[in-house]
Amino acid sequence: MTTLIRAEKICFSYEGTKILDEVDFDLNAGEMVGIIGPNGAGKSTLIRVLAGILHQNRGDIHYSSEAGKKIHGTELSRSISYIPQRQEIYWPLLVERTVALGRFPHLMSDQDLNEEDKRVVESAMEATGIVHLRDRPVNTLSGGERTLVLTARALAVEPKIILADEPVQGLDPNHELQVMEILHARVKSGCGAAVVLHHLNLAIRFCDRLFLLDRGKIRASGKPSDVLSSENLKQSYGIQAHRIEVGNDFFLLPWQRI
Amino acid sequence: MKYKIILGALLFAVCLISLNIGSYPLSFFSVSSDIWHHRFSQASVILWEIRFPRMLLGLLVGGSLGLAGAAMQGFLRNPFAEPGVLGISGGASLGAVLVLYSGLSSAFSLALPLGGIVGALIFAALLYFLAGPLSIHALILSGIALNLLAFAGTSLVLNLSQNPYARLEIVFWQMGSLQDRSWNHLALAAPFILTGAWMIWKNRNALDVLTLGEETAQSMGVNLKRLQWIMIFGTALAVGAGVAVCGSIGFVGLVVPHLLRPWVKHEPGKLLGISALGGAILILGADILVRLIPAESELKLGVLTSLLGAPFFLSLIFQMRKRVN
Repeated sequence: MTTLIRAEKICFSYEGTKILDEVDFDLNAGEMVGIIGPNGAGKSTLIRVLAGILHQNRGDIHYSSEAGKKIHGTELSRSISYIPQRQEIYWPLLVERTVALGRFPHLMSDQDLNEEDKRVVESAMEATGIVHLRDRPVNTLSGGERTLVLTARALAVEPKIILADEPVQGLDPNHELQVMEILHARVKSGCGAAVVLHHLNLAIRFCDRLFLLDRGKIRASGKPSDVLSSENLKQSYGIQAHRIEVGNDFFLLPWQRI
Repeated sequence: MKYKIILGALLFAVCLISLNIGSYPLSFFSVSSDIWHHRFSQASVILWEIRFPRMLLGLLVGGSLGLAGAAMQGFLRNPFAEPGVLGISGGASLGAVLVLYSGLSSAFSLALPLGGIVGALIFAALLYFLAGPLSIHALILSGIALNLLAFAGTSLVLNLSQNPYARLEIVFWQMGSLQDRSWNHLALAAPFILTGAWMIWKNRNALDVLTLGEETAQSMGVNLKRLQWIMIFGTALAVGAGVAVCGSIGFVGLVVPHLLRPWVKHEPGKLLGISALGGAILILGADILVRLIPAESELKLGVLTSLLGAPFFLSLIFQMRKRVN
Protein backbone atom coordinates (compact mmCIF):
# COMPACT_ATOMS: atom_id res chain seq x y z
CA MET A 1 0.00 0.00 0.00
CA THR A 2 1.47 3.36 -1.05
CA THR A 3 1.32 6.25 1.35
CA LEU A 4 0.14 9.35 -0.55
CA ILE A 5 0.26 11.84 2.31
CA ARG A 6 2.35 11.66 5.43
CA ALA A 7 1.98 14.61 7.79
CA GLU A 8 3.95 14.77 11.01
CA LYS A 9 3.41 16.98 14.02
CA ILE A 10 1.42 19.65 12.19
CA CYS A 11 0.90 22.83 14.21
CA PHE A 12 -1.19 25.74 13.03
CA SER A 13 -2.08 28.93 14.88
CA TYR A 14 -4.31 31.76 13.80
CA GLU A 15 -3.95 35.11 15.53
CA GLY A 16 -2.34 33.50 18.55
CA THR A 17 -4.93 30.73 18.92
CA LYS A 18 -3.61 27.23 18.47
CA ILE A 19 -5.93 25.42 16.05
CA LEU A 20 -3.85 22.36 15.23
CA ASP A 21 -1.50 20.93 17.84
CA GLU A 22 1.01 18.28 16.71
CA VAL A 23 -1.37 16.48 14.40
CA ASP A 24 -0.12 13.31 12.70
CA PHE A 25 -2.00 12.25 9.62
CA ASP A 26 -1.51 9.78 6.81
CA LEU A 27 -3.46 8.73 3.76
CA ASN A 28 -2.87 5.63 1.66
CA ALA A 29 -3.83 4.84 -1.92
CA GLY A 30 -7.09 2.93 -2.12
CA GLU A 31 -8.54 4.10 1.17
CA MET A 32 -11.02 6.66 2.33
CA VAL A 33 -10.33 8.22 5.68
CA GLY A 34 -12.79 10.33 7.60
CA ILE A 35 -11.82 13.37 9.62
CA ILE A 36 -14.40 13.75 12.36
CA GLY A 37 -14.77 15.77 15.51
CA PRO A 38 -16.93 18.42 17.14
CA ASN A 39 -17.38 21.93 15.72
CA GLY A 40 -14.24 23.99 16.08
CA ALA A 41 -11.97 20.95 16.49
CA GLY A 42 -9.82 22.04 13.51
CA LYS A 43 -11.12 19.65 10.83
CA SER A 44 -11.44 22.24 8.07
CA THR A 45 -8.10 23.77 9.03
CA LEU A 46 -6.42 20.37 8.80
CA ILE A 47 -7.86 19.67 5.36
CA ARG A 48 -6.85 23.14 4.12
CA VAL A 49 -3.33 22.64 5.42
CA LEU A 50 -3.21 19.29 3.63
CA ALA A 51 -4.49 20.98 0.45
CA GLY A 52 -1.70 23.56 0.67
CA ILE A 53 -4.09 26.50 1.09
CA LEU A 54 -2.91 27.23 4.62
CA HIS A 55 0.66 26.73 5.71
CA GLN A 56 1.47 24.97 8.94
CA ASN A 57 3.63 26.82 11.46
CA ARG A 58 5.47 23.64 12.30
CA GLY A 59 5.62 20.06 11.08
CA ASP A 60 6.19 18.45 7.70
CA ILE A 61 3.90 17.13 5.03
CA HIS A 62 5.21 14.74 2.38
CA TYR A 63 3.23 13.90 -0.72
CA SER A 64 4.06 10.89 -2.88
CA SER A 65 2.82 9.51 -6.16
CA GLU A 66 1.49 5.97 -6.39
CA ALA A 67 4.96 4.86 -7.41
CA GLY A 68 6.29 6.30 -4.15
CA LYS A 69 8.00 9.28 -5.81
CA LYS A 70 7.91 12.59 -3.91
CA ILE A 71 5.73 15.23 -5.57
CA HIS A 72 5.38 19.00 -5.16
CA GLY A 73 4.64 22.20 -7.07
CA THR A 74 2.69 21.91 -10.31
CA GLU A 75 2.67 18.14 -10.14
CA LEU A 76 1.06 18.36 -6.70
CA SER A 77 -1.72 20.66 -7.91
CA ARG A 78 -2.38 18.11 -10.66
CA SER A 79 -2.58 15.31 -8.11
CA ILE A 80 -4.79 16.92 -5.46
CA SER A 81 -8.42 17.87 -5.69
CA TYR A 82 -9.83 19.98 -2.91
CA ILE A 83 -13.58 20.31 -2.42
CA PRO A 84 -14.29 23.17 -0.02
CA GLN A 85 -17.21 23.49 2.31
CA ARG A 86 -19.99 25.56 0.71
CA GLN A 87 -18.20 26.31 -2.52
CA GLU A 88 -19.26 29.53 -4.18
CA ILE A 89 -19.65 29.89 -7.93
CA TYR A 90 -19.37 33.58 -8.70
CA TRP A 91 -20.57 33.65 -12.30
CA PRO A 92 -23.45 31.60 -13.75
CA LEU A 93 -21.22 29.43 -15.95
CA LEU A 94 -22.63 26.48 -17.86
CA VAL A 95 -22.31 23.13 -16.12
CA GLU A 96 -19.93 21.71 -18.71
CA ARG A 97 -17.59 24.73 -18.48
CA THR A 98 -17.67 24.58 -14.68
CA VAL A 99 -16.57 20.95 -14.75
CA ALA A 100 -13.89 21.83 -17.33
CA LEU A 101 -12.30 24.27 -14.83
CA GLY A 102 -10.91 21.14 -13.20
CA ARG A 103 -8.50 20.79 -16.13
CA PHE A 104 -6.76 24.06 -15.22
CA PRO A 105 -3.78 22.48 -13.42
CA HIS A 106 -3.00 20.53 -16.59
CA LEU A 107 -3.09 23.57 -18.87
CA MET A 108 -0.73 26.46 -19.29
CA SER A 109 -2.49 29.59 -18.09
CA ASP A 110 -3.45 30.56 -21.64
CA GLN A 111 -4.09 27.18 -23.29
CA ASP A 112 -7.43 25.84 -24.42
CA LEU A 113 -8.72 22.33 -23.74
CA ASN A 114 -7.46 19.61 -26.08
CA GLU A 115 -9.28 16.40 -27.06
CA GLU A 116 -7.90 14.49 -24.08
CA ASP A 117 -9.08 17.21 -21.69
CA LYS A 118 -12.54 17.13 -23.23
CA ARG A 119 -12.68 13.36 -22.86
CA VAL A 120 -11.80 13.64 -19.15
CA VAL A 121 -14.47 16.32 -18.62
CA GLU A 122 -17.01 14.09 -20.35
CA SER A 123 -16.17 11.08 -18.20
CA ALA A 124 -16.31 13.19 -15.02
CA MET A 125 -19.83 14.27 -15.98
CA GLU A 126 -20.78 10.66 -16.72
CA ALA A 127 -19.39 9.45 -13.39
CA THR A 128 -21.53 11.97 -11.54
CA GLY A 129 -24.60 11.54 -13.73
CA ILE A 130 -24.85 15.17 -14.81
CA VAL A 131 -24.46 14.82 -18.58
CA HIS A 132 -28.07 15.94 -19.09
CA LEU A 133 -27.33 19.18 -17.20
CA ARG A 134 -24.39 20.13 -19.41
CA ASP A 135 -25.94 23.26 -20.94
CA ARG A 136 -27.62 24.55 -17.79
CA PRO A 137 -26.23 27.65 -16.06
CA VAL A 138 -25.09 26.63 -12.57
CA ASN A 139 -27.28 29.21 -10.85
CA THR A 140 -30.39 27.34 -12.01
CA LEU A 141 -29.42 24.05 -10.32
CA SER A 142 -30.77 22.54 -7.11
CA GLY A 143 -28.43 22.09 -4.15
CA GLY A 144 -27.93 18.42 -4.96
CA GLU A 145 -27.21 19.02 -8.64
CA ARG A 146 -24.80 21.78 -7.74
CA THR A 147 -22.85 19.51 -5.40
CA LEU A 148 -22.66 16.89 -8.16
CA VAL A 149 -21.29 19.50 -10.58
CA LEU A 150 -18.63 20.57 -8.10
CA THR A 151 -17.77 16.94 -7.44
CA ALA A 152 -17.40 16.40 -11.18
CA ARG A 153 -15.14 19.47 -11.29
CA ALA A 154 -12.96 17.83 -8.65
CA LEU A 155 -12.87 14.54 -10.56
CA ALA A 156 -11.91 16.35 -13.78
CA VAL A 157 -8.52 17.11 -12.20
CA GLU A 158 -7.93 13.33 -12.34
CA PRO A 159 -6.54 13.53 -8.84
CA LYS A 160 -4.65 10.89 -6.92
CA ILE A 161 -5.70 12.56 -3.67
CA ILE A 162 -9.17 13.92 -2.94
CA LEU A 163 -9.58 16.25 0.03
CA ALA A 164 -13.23 17.05 0.70
CA ASP A 165 -14.59 19.33 3.41
CA GLU A 166 -18.11 18.18 4.27
CA PRO A 167 -19.06 17.23 0.72
CA VAL A 168 -22.54 16.08 1.74
CA GLN A 169 -23.56 19.11 3.77
CA GLY A 170 -27.18 20.04 3.20
CA LEU A 171 -28.00 17.12 0.92
CA ASP A 172 -30.93 14.72 1.07
CA PRO A 173 -30.13 11.06 1.91
CA ASN A 174 -30.16 10.02 -1.73
CA HIS A 175 -27.67 12.69 -2.77
CA GLU A 176 -25.60 12.04 0.35
CA LEU A 177 -25.19 8.43 -0.68
CA GLN A 178 -24.62 9.34 -4.32
CA VAL A 179 -21.78 11.76 -3.55
CA MET A 180 -20.16 9.32 -1.12
CA GLU A 181 -20.50 6.49 -3.66
CA ILE A 182 -18.87 8.61 -6.37
CA LEU A 183 -15.90 9.38 -4.10
CA HIS A 184 -15.78 5.76 -2.98
CA ALA A 185 -15.64 4.54 -6.59
CA ARG A 186 -12.59 6.74 -7.18
CA VAL A 187 -10.97 5.31 -4.07
CA LYS A 188 -11.56 1.78 -5.33
CA SER A 189 -9.76 2.68 -8.55
CA GLY A 190 -6.66 3.70 -6.60
CA CYS A 191 -7.15 7.24 -5.25
CA GLY A 192 -6.85 8.20 -1.65
CA ALA A 193 -9.58 10.38 -0.15
CA ALA A 194 -9.74 12.32 3.10
CA VAL A 195 -13.23 13.52 3.90
CA VAL A 196 -14.40 15.79 6.70
CA LEU A 197 -17.72 14.42 7.92
CA HIS A 198 -20.20 15.42 10.59
CA HIS A 199 -22.43 12.52 9.77
CA LEU A 200 -20.95 9.69 11.86
CA ASN A 201 -22.99 6.95 10.21
CA LEU A 202 -21.75 7.93 6.77
CA ALA A 203 -18.24 7.81 8.21
CA ILE A 204 -18.88 4.29 9.51
CA ARG A 205 -20.45 3.23 6.23
CA PHE A 206 -17.75 4.50 3.84
CA CYS A 207 -14.47 5.13 5.67
CA ASP A 208 -11.68 2.63 6.15
CA ARG A 209 -10.11 4.69 8.92
CA LEU A 210 -11.13 7.68 11.01
CA PHE A 211 -9.19 10.53 12.60
CA LEU A 212 -11.03 11.98 15.58
CA LEU A 213 -9.94 15.59 16.13
CA ASP A 214 -10.69 17.32 19.39
CA ARG A 215 -9.51 20.84 20.22
CA GLY A 216 -6.73 20.64 17.67
CA LYS A 217 -5.36 17.27 18.75
CA ILE A 218 -5.92 13.80 17.39
CA ARG A 219 -7.83 12.01 20.13
CA ALA A 220 -8.02 8.69 18.30
CA SER A 221 -7.35 7.20 14.90
CA GLY A 222 -7.91 3.84 13.32
CA LYS A 223 -10.86 1.61 12.47
CA PRO A 224 -14.29 3.27 12.88
CA SER A 225 -15.44 0.72 15.46
CA ASP A 226 -12.44 1.53 17.67
CA VAL A 227 -12.45 5.29 17.20
CA LEU A 228 -16.16 5.66 17.85
CA SER A 229 -16.04 4.03 21.28
CA SER A 230 -18.46 5.31 23.87
CA GLU A 231 -15.53 6.76 25.84
CA ASN A 232 -14.27 8.76 22.82
CA LEU A 233 -17.78 10.00 21.99
CA LYS A 234 -18.22 11.11 25.57
CA GLN A 235 -14.84 12.84 25.81
CA SER A 236 -14.86 14.67 22.49
CA TYR A 237 -18.51 15.26 21.58
CA GLY A 238 -19.92 15.08 25.10
CA ILE A 239 -22.66 12.71 24.03
CA GLN A 240 -23.92 9.29 24.71
CA ALA A 241 -25.04 7.24 21.69
CA HIS A 242 -26.84 3.95 21.18
CA ARG A 243 -24.69 1.55 19.24
CA ILE A 244 -26.78 -0.66 17.03
CA GLU A 245 -25.31 -3.76 15.42
CA VAL A 246 -26.65 -4.79 12.02
CA GLY A 247 -24.97 -7.97 10.75
CA ASN A 248 -21.26 -7.13 10.62
CA ASP A 249 -21.98 -3.42 10.56
CA PHE A 250 -23.02 -1.05 13.29
CA PHE A 251 -24.41 2.43 13.46
CA LEU A 252 -24.80 5.11 16.09
CA LEU A 253 -27.85 6.90 17.30
CA PRO A 254 -26.78 9.96 19.32
CA TRP A 255 -29.10 9.80 22.31
CA GLN A 256 -28.29 12.37 24.95
CA ARG A 257 -25.76 14.99 25.94
CA ILE A 258 -23.64 14.28 28.94
CA MET B 1 -18.13 31.99 -33.04
CA LYS B 2 -21.07 34.03 -34.29
CA TYR B 3 -20.46 36.88 -31.86
CA LYS B 4 -16.86 37.19 -32.95
CA ILE B 5 -17.96 37.64 -36.58
CA ILE B 6 -20.57 40.23 -35.62
CA LEU B 7 -18.13 42.20 -33.49
CA GLY B 8 -15.36 41.87 -36.06
CA ALA B 9 -17.62 43.20 -38.81
CA LEU B 10 -18.80 46.07 -36.60
CA LEU B 11 -15.25 46.97 -35.71
CA PHE B 12 -14.21 46.98 -39.35
CA ALA B 13 -17.18 49.22 -40.16
CA VAL B 14 -16.44 51.79 -37.44
CA CYS B 15 -12.77 51.83 -38.44
CA LEU B 16 -13.68 52.69 -42.03
CA ILE B 17 -16.28 55.27 -41.03
CA SER B 18 -13.83 56.80 -38.58
CA LEU B 19 -11.34 57.33 -41.40
CA ASN B 20 -14.01 58.90 -43.59
CA ILE B 21 -15.49 61.36 -41.14
CA GLY B 22 -14.16 64.74 -40.14
CA SER B 23 -14.33 68.45 -40.82
CA TYR B 24 -12.43 67.99 -44.07
CA PRO B 25 -14.49 65.94 -46.54
CA LEU B 26 -12.49 63.16 -48.09
CA SER B 27 -13.11 59.70 -49.39
CA PHE B 28 -10.95 57.03 -47.89
CA PHE B 29 -10.74 55.01 -51.10
CA SER B 30 -9.67 57.75 -53.49
CA VAL B 31 -7.18 59.11 -50.99
CA SER B 32 -5.65 55.76 -50.22
CA SER B 33 -4.90 55.33 -53.90
CA ASP B 34 -3.19 58.74 -53.70
CA ILE B 35 -1.08 57.53 -50.82
CA TRP B 36 -0.35 54.28 -52.57
CA HIS B 37 0.92 56.11 -55.63
CA HIS B 38 2.87 58.64 -53.55
CA ARG B 39 0.69 61.54 -54.68
CA PHE B 40 0.74 63.80 -51.67
CA SER B 41 -2.49 65.72 -51.77
CA GLN B 42 -3.85 67.71 -48.85
CA ALA B 43 -6.43 65.00 -48.38
CA SER B 44 -3.82 62.28 -48.20
CA VAL B 45 -1.89 64.16 -45.53
CA ILE B 46 -5.05 64.57 -43.47
CA LEU B 47 -5.89 60.92 -43.84
CA TRP B 48 -2.43 59.67 -42.98
CA GLU B 49 -1.34 62.18 -40.36
CA ILE B 50 -4.64 62.85 -38.60
CA ARG B 51 -7.30 60.28 -39.30
CA PHE B 52 -5.15 57.14 -39.14
CA PRO B 53 -3.52 57.85 -35.78
CA ARG B 54 -6.87 58.95 -34.41
CA MET B 55 -8.52 55.73 -35.52
CA LEU B 56 -5.69 53.48 -34.32
CA LEU B 57 -5.48 55.23 -30.99
CA GLY B 58 -9.23 54.82 -30.54
CA LEU B 59 -8.83 51.16 -31.36
CA LEU B 60 -6.05 50.70 -28.81
CA VAL B 61 -7.47 52.81 -26.02
CA GLY B 62 -10.99 51.44 -26.43
CA GLY B 63 -9.66 47.90 -26.58
CA SER B 64 -7.52 48.35 -23.48
CA LEU B 65 -10.39 49.91 -21.52
CA GLY B 66 -12.72 47.06 -22.44
CA LEU B 67 -10.08 44.46 -21.63
CA ALA B 68 -9.05 46.07 -18.34
CA GLY B 69 -12.68 46.40 -17.27
CA ALA B 70 -13.32 42.73 -17.99
CA ALA B 71 -10.11 41.76 -16.18
CA MET B 72 -10.99 43.79 -13.06
CA GLN B 73 -14.53 42.39 -12.99
CA GLY B 74 -13.27 38.85 -13.46
CA PHE B 75 -10.49 39.15 -10.94
CA LEU B 76 -12.65 40.75 -8.26
CA ARG B 77 -15.70 38.71 -9.28
CA ASN B 78 -17.72 41.87 -9.15
CA PRO B 79 -19.66 43.42 -12.05
CA PHE B 80 -19.11 46.92 -10.64
CA ALA B 81 -15.35 46.85 -10.74
CA GLU B 82 -13.73 49.05 -13.36
CA PRO B 83 -10.45 50.98 -13.59
CA GLY B 84 -12.42 54.26 -13.42
CA VAL B 85 -14.62 53.29 -10.48
CA LEU B 86 -11.59 51.95 -8.61
CA GLY B 87 -9.60 55.15 -9.03
CA ILE B 88 -6.87 53.73 -11.28
CA SER B 89 -7.87 56.02 -14.16
CA GLY B 90 -8.03 58.93 -11.70
CA GLY B 91 -4.47 58.17 -10.62
CA ALA B 92 -3.32 58.06 -14.23
CA SER B 93 -5.04 61.35 -14.85
CA LEU B 94 -3.43 63.01 -11.85
CA GLY B 95 0.00 61.71 -12.86
CA ALA B 96 -0.40 63.09 -16.36
CA VAL B 97 -1.71 66.43 -15.09
CA LEU B 98 1.32 66.81 -12.84
CA VAL B 99 3.57 66.16 -15.81
CA LEU B 100 1.70 68.74 -17.89
CA TYR B 101 1.82 71.26 -15.08
CA SER B 102 5.50 70.82 -14.31
CA GLY B 103 6.42 71.27 -17.93
CA LEU B 104 8.16 67.91 -18.02
CA SER B 105 6.00 66.91 -20.98
CA SER B 106 7.59 69.56 -23.19
CA ALA B 107 11.05 68.60 -21.96
CA PHE B 108 10.80 65.00 -23.13
CA SER B 109 7.87 63.39 -24.82
CA LEU B 110 7.88 60.10 -22.92
CA ALA B 111 7.15 62.01 -19.71
CA LEU B 112 3.41 62.19 -20.37
CA PRO B 113 2.67 58.46 -20.75
CA LEU B 114 5.16 57.68 -17.99
CA GLY B 115 3.41 60.17 -15.71
CA GLY B 116 0.09 58.52 -16.48
CA ILE B 117 1.44 55.03 -15.88
CA VAL B 118 3.24 55.94 -12.67
CA GLY B 119 0.09 57.68 -11.39
CA ALA B 120 -1.96 54.61 -12.27
CA LEU B 121 0.54 52.29 -10.59
CA ILE B 122 0.69 54.36 -7.41
CA PHE B 123 -3.07 54.46 -7.17
CA ALA B 124 -3.33 50.77 -7.98
CA ALA B 125 -0.84 50.03 -5.20
CA LEU B 126 -2.78 52.26 -2.79
CA LEU B 127 -5.94 50.42 -3.74
CA TYR B 128 -4.20 47.11 -3.11
CA PHE B 129 -3.09 48.13 0.36
CA LEU B 130 -6.27 49.98 1.34
CA ALA B 131 -8.70 47.31 0.26
CA GLY B 132 -6.72 44.34 1.52
CA PRO B 133 -7.54 40.89 0.23
CA LEU B 134 -10.48 41.47 -2.02
CA SER B 135 -13.23 42.64 0.28
CA ILE B 136 -15.70 44.15 -2.14
CA HIS B 137 -16.99 46.89 0.15
CA ALA B 138 -13.51 47.98 1.17
CA LEU B 139 -12.56 48.01 -2.48
CA ILE B 140 -15.43 50.23 -3.63
CA LEU B 141 -14.90 52.59 -0.68
CA SER B 142 -11.18 52.77 -1.44
CA GLY B 143 -12.06 53.53 -5.05
CA ILE B 144 -14.25 56.44 -3.94
CA ALA B 145 -11.51 57.75 -1.66
CA LEU B 146 -8.88 57.46 -4.39
CA ASN B 147 -11.10 59.19 -6.93
CA LEU B 148 -11.61 62.03 -4.47
CA LEU B 149 -7.87 62.21 -3.89
CA ALA B 150 -7.19 62.34 -7.62
CA PHE B 151 -9.82 65.03 -8.06
CA ALA B 152 -8.39 67.05 -5.17
CA GLY B 153 -4.89 66.74 -6.55
CA THR B 154 -5.95 67.85 -9.99
CA SER B 155 -7.91 70.78 -8.57
CA LEU B 156 -4.89 71.78 -6.54
CA VAL B 157 -2.74 71.80 -9.66
CA LEU B 158 -5.30 73.96 -11.47
CA ASN B 159 -5.53 76.20 -8.44
CA LEU B 160 -1.79 76.75 -8.28
CA SER B 161 -1.28 77.06 -12.00
CA GLN B 162 -0.25 80.62 -12.98
CA ASN B 163 -0.72 80.25 -16.67
CA PRO B 164 -4.37 80.42 -17.81
CA TYR B 165 -3.49 78.77 -21.08
CA ALA B 166 -1.95 75.79 -19.28
CA ARG B 167 -5.06 75.56 -17.10
CA LEU B 168 -7.27 75.42 -20.12
CA GLU B 169 -5.06 72.80 -21.67
CA ILE B 170 -5.31 70.64 -18.57
CA VAL B 171 -9.07 71.03 -18.31
CA PHE B 172 -9.64 70.11 -21.93
CA TRP B 173 -7.15 67.29 -21.81
CA GLN B 174 -8.92 65.86 -18.78
CA MET B 175 -12.21 65.58 -20.62
CA GLY B 176 -10.77 62.89 -22.80
CA SER B 177 -10.46 63.11 -26.54
CA LEU B 178 -8.86 61.52 -29.59
CA GLN B 179 -8.81 64.81 -31.46
CA ASP B 180 -5.51 65.96 -32.99
CA ARG B 181 -3.49 62.99 -31.81
CA SER B 182 -0.45 62.14 -33.88
CA TRP B 183 1.61 59.07 -34.67
CA ASN B 184 3.86 60.18 -31.82
CA HIS B 185 1.06 59.80 -29.31
CA LEU B 186 0.32 56.40 -30.70
CA ALA B 187 3.96 55.33 -30.56
CA LEU B 188 4.21 56.54 -26.96
CA ALA B 189 1.15 54.72 -25.70
CA ALA B 190 1.10 51.55 -27.79
CA PRO B 191 4.02 49.64 -26.22
CA PHE B 192 2.66 50.12 -22.70
CA ILE B 193 -0.92 49.34 -23.63
CA LEU B 194 0.08 46.22 -25.50
CA THR B 195 2.36 45.02 -22.68
CA GLY B 196 -0.38 45.51 -20.08
CA ALA B 197 -2.97 43.81 -22.27
CA TRP B 198 -0.63 40.92 -22.95
CA MET B 199 0.02 40.41 -19.21
CA ILE B 200 -3.70 40.19 -18.56
CA TRP B 201 -4.45 38.06 -21.60
CA LYS B 202 -1.81 35.46 -20.70
CA ASN B 203 -3.58 34.79 -17.41
CA ARG B 204 -7.12 34.43 -18.66
CA ASN B 205 -7.53 30.82 -17.52
CA ALA B 206 -6.73 31.81 -13.96
CA LEU B 207 -9.62 34.31 -14.09
CA ASP B 208 -11.91 31.45 -15.09
CA VAL B 209 -10.74 29.32 -12.18
CA LEU B 210 -11.33 32.19 -9.74
CA THR B 211 -15.04 31.69 -10.44
CA LEU B 212 -14.77 28.84 -7.93
CA GLY B 213 -13.34 31.12 -5.25
CA GLU B 214 -9.84 31.78 -4.05
CA GLU B 215 -9.27 28.60 -2.06
CA THR B 216 -10.22 26.26 -4.87
CA ALA B 217 -8.18 28.32 -7.32
CA GLN B 218 -5.21 28.08 -4.97
CA SER B 219 -5.62 24.32 -4.66
CA MET B 220 -5.47 24.12 -8.45
CA GLY B 221 -2.14 25.90 -8.56
CA VAL B 222 -3.14 29.56 -9.00
CA ASN B 223 -0.66 31.83 -7.24
CA LEU B 224 -3.07 34.48 -5.96
CA LYS B 225 -0.45 37.03 -4.95
CA ARG B 226 1.20 36.82 -8.34
CA LEU B 227 -2.12 37.00 -10.15
CA GLN B 228 -3.17 40.06 -8.15
CA TRP B 229 0.03 41.88 -9.05
CA ILE B 230 -0.26 40.91 -12.70
CA MET B 231 -3.84 42.14 -12.90
CA ILE B 232 -3.09 45.41 -11.11
CA PHE B 233 0.14 46.11 -13.00
CA GLY B 234 -1.35 45.05 -16.33
CA THR B 235 -4.36 47.30 -15.80
CA ALA B 236 -2.23 50.19 -14.65
CA LEU B 237 0.01 49.89 -17.74
CA ALA B 238 -2.83 49.53 -20.21
CA VAL B 239 -5.13 52.14 -18.72
CA GLY B 240 -2.43 54.53 -17.53
CA ALA B 241 -0.85 54.84 -20.97
CA GLY B 242 -4.25 55.33 -22.63
CA VAL B 243 -5.34 58.00 -20.15
CA ALA B 244 -1.99 59.75 -20.51
CA VAL B 245 -2.42 60.38 -24.23
CA CYS B 246 -6.22 60.63 -24.48
CA GLY B 247 -7.36 61.91 -21.09
CA SER B 248 -9.90 60.06 -19.02
CA ILE B 249 -12.63 58.28 -20.87
CA GLY B 250 -15.05 56.91 -18.33
CA PHE B 251 -17.46 54.00 -18.12
CA VAL B 252 -16.25 52.04 -21.15
CA GLY B 253 -14.63 49.45 -18.90
CA LEU B 254 -17.83 49.11 -16.93
CA VAL B 255 -20.42 49.06 -19.69
CA VAL B 256 -18.75 46.87 -22.28
CA PRO B 257 -17.99 43.74 -20.21
CA HIS B 258 -21.46 44.01 -18.75
CA LEU B 259 -23.22 44.05 -22.07
CA LEU B 260 -21.11 41.28 -23.57
CA ARG B 261 -20.91 38.89 -20.63
CA PRO B 262 -24.04 36.88 -21.58
CA TRP B 263 -22.59 36.43 -25.09
CA VAL B 264 -19.75 34.31 -23.71
CA LYS B 265 -21.93 32.51 -21.15
CA HIS B 266 -20.36 34.54 -18.32
CA GLU B 267 -16.88 33.08 -18.77
CA PRO B 268 -14.37 35.66 -17.45
CA GLY B 269 -11.52 34.44 -19.67
CA LYS B 270 -13.45 34.55 -22.92
CA LEU B 271 -14.90 37.91 -21.93
CA LEU B 272 -11.46 39.54 -22.15
CA GLY B 273 -11.16 39.22 -25.91
CA ILE B 274 -14.63 40.31 -26.87
CA SER B 275 -14.60 43.13 -24.34
CA ALA B 276 -11.48 44.45 -26.06
CA LEU B 277 -13.36 44.31 -29.38
CA GLY B 278 -16.45 45.88 -27.83
CA GLY B 279 -14.45 48.65 -26.13
CA ALA B 280 -12.78 49.54 -29.41
CA ILE B 281 -16.15 49.62 -31.19
CA LEU B 282 -17.70 51.80 -28.50
CA ILE B 283 -14.83 54.30 -28.46
CA LEU B 284 -14.61 54.52 -32.23
CA GLY B 285 -18.40 54.81 -32.46
CA ALA B 286 -18.47 57.56 -29.85
CA ASP B 287 -15.57 59.28 -31.58
CA ILE B 288 -17.56 59.24 -34.84
CA LEU B 289 -20.53 60.67 -32.95
CA VAL B 290 -18.60 63.60 -31.48
CA ARG B 291 -17.53 64.54 -35.00
CA LEU B 292 -21.10 64.35 -36.31
CA ILE B 293 -22.81 66.26 -33.50
CA PRO B 294 -22.83 69.90 -34.60
CA ALA B 295 -21.34 72.04 -31.84
CA GLU B 296 -19.36 75.23 -31.53
CA SER B 297 -16.31 73.26 -30.45
CA GLU B 298 -16.15 69.51 -30.92
CA LEU B 299 -17.81 67.59 -28.08
CA LYS B 300 -15.18 65.78 -26.01
CA LEU B 301 -15.16 62.00 -26.22
CA GLY B 302 -14.91 61.49 -22.46
CA VAL B 303 -17.89 63.77 -21.94
CA LEU B 304 -19.96 61.73 -24.36
CA THR B 305 -19.02 58.33 -22.87
CA SER B 306 -19.81 59.62 -19.39
CA LEU B 307 -23.14 60.97 -20.60
CA LEU B 308 -23.93 57.53 -21.97
CA GLY B 309 -22.36 55.63 -19.08
CA ALA B 310 -24.02 57.33 -16.11
CA PRO B 311 -27.59 56.28 -17.04
CA PHE B 312 -26.26 52.80 -17.70
CA PHE B 313 -24.78 52.63 -14.22
CA LEU B 314 -28.13 53.76 -12.82
CA SER B 315 -29.98 51.10 -14.78
CA LEU B 316 -27.63 48.49 -13.28
CA ILE B 317 -28.62 49.65 -9.82
CA PHE B 318 -32.29 49.40 -10.74
CA GLN B 319 -31.77 45.89 -12.08
CA MET B 320 -30.07 44.92 -8.84
CA ARG B 321 -32.91 46.35 -6.79
CA LYS B 322 -35.39 44.35 -8.80
CA ARG B 323 -33.41 41.18 -8.17
CA VAL B 324 -33.25 41.88 -4.44
CA ASN B 325 -37.00 42.44 -4.22
